[in-house]
Amino acid sequence: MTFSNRLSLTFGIFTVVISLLFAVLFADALNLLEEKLIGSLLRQEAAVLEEGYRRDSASLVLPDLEQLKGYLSGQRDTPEWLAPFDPGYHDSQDFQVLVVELEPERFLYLVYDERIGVLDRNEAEINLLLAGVVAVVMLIGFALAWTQGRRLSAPLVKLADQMSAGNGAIERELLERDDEIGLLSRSYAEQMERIEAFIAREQAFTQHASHELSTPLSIIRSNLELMREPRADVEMQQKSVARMEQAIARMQRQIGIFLVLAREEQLRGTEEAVDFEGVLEELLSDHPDIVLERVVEEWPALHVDADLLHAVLQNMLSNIERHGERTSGGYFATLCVGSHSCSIRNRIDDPLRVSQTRGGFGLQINRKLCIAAGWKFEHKVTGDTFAATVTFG
Amino acid sequence: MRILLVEDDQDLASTIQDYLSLESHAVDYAHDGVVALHLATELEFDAVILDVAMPRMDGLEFCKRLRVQGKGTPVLMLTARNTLEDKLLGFESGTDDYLTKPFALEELAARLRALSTRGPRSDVGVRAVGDLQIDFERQAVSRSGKALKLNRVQFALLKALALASPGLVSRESLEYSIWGDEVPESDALRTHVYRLRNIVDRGFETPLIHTAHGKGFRLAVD
Repeated sequence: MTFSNRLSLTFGIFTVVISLLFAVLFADALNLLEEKLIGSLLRQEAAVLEEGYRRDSASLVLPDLEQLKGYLSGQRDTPEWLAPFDPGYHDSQDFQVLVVELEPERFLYLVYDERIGVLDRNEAEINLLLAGVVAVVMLIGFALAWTQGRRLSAPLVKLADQMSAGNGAIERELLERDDEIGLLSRSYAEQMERIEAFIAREQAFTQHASHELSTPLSIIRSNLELMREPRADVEMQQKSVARMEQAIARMQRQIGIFLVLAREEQLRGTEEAVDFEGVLEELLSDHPDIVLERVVEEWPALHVDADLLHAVLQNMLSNIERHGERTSGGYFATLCVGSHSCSIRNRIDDPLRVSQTRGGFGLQINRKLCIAAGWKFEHKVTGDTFAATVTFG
Repeated sequence: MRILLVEDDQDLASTIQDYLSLESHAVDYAHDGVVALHLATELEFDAVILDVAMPRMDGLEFCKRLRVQGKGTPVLMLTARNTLEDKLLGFESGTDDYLTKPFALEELAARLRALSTRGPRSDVGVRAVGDLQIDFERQAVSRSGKALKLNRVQFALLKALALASPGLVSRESLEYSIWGDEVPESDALRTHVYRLRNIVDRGFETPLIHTAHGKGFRLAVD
């Protein structure tokens, strides 16, 4: 059953109950009103008769109407069933009786026959009228319930339509509602934003991975082509082989790093210490424009996957080339190495561009890699100076 | 051919250099966009092979700045970015061709030959015809220092005339440059040329837009 039908049914049942209760109350109110009116009428009549009796009891004329009759106790035509009634007002099923004690052991009975009263005589018509009113009220109630059900469920249907459209766009009107539908809309919109951000990050990662792998792949393919080239001399072919070997090593490293980043492979610790200085020297040979001033307190003794250290340092050096200030002598940077940390500090050419790239090249990846290795990666931009620090362990 | 190779990966750059040297091309190498822009504006190259992701200045920015400086050197963009959006961005920045990594060196050489055959682009920088100056990048026109306001159609007309100047441009060519294959039935070209002439020539001593009856139009100082 749809939400709107449920709402309609609930409202409809409520309307029926209310209408029936109203009908019962109305009928009771009519009866009560009739009794009060008759009681009042009997008391007025009794007061007049009592006064007449005290003035001249012999000439007292008792009412003898179809509905209202008067009797005095001890008279022959007084019905015997009145004898047990004490002075006061009595309401039996068909009669209403008022008993007044005129003098000791002398009672006046006023009897109102309800069977031929206005209500009882017109009971069928009144009931029909009441049933008609109840039916009309129920119909109106059902119509209103149906309309309200649809009106209340319309924003939900609209929200569902917008959700199923799949583009994540929710109308401002729904988002700004101050009710549960507004809450649901906002929650959905926030969820969609999170999903979109996640997808964007995944796409960026895939693009980055594709880009990083396609360069060494290009090197391998191009050098294969170069080796097949009959015009290439031996020296050129040897260079090609060397380049292909380097590209393969680079691809292997990158695939390992991507697997770590994709959390498909746990980091494997190594028993052998990684040669920090050796990895740095190897990387610097690929970045001839970087002029590194080294402040070495102690080379760190690390037991970690060498590829991971390679990737972290590679990103830090690439970041210098991407965003560092280049002078005529190249990119100047200061490297401080201690037993538990390594930091690189350099001037940047455009602080705004650095802030737009969330700090610089490869830093998000470095953060993830350092988490995987149990290290801590921090970077900071102060004015035109950039500093990145890796704390080991 | 003299080629400028802009690539931050030294191994790839060396490979391309080796192959192009076998093809008897002279290759100059730049590691980043800033150095490349300096070389490309100072020297004359038959073509530029350009990586997109580079230190200091990326390939897109390099291309934009090269065109703004009026250099029409053919540019072949070489990148791992292979989405349609990336390609469109490349063409919008002013590149002439696009090759995605990994690629075949033979294809690279073939594309370079095709680019060099076409020669440098003429629709970049500022073109002067007499005292009329047309800035293609900024879409700005001035005559004797006075800025002229042209709408999109009028600029397209003037651009077509300026690129062929002082030569004649046929009516059909002009119509195609504005409306492509959907040329209007009425003689709308005549109306646009009339309006363009009012803007470019009215109030100036020397008329620059000339009509060759039954043939077309030309922009020249006669």
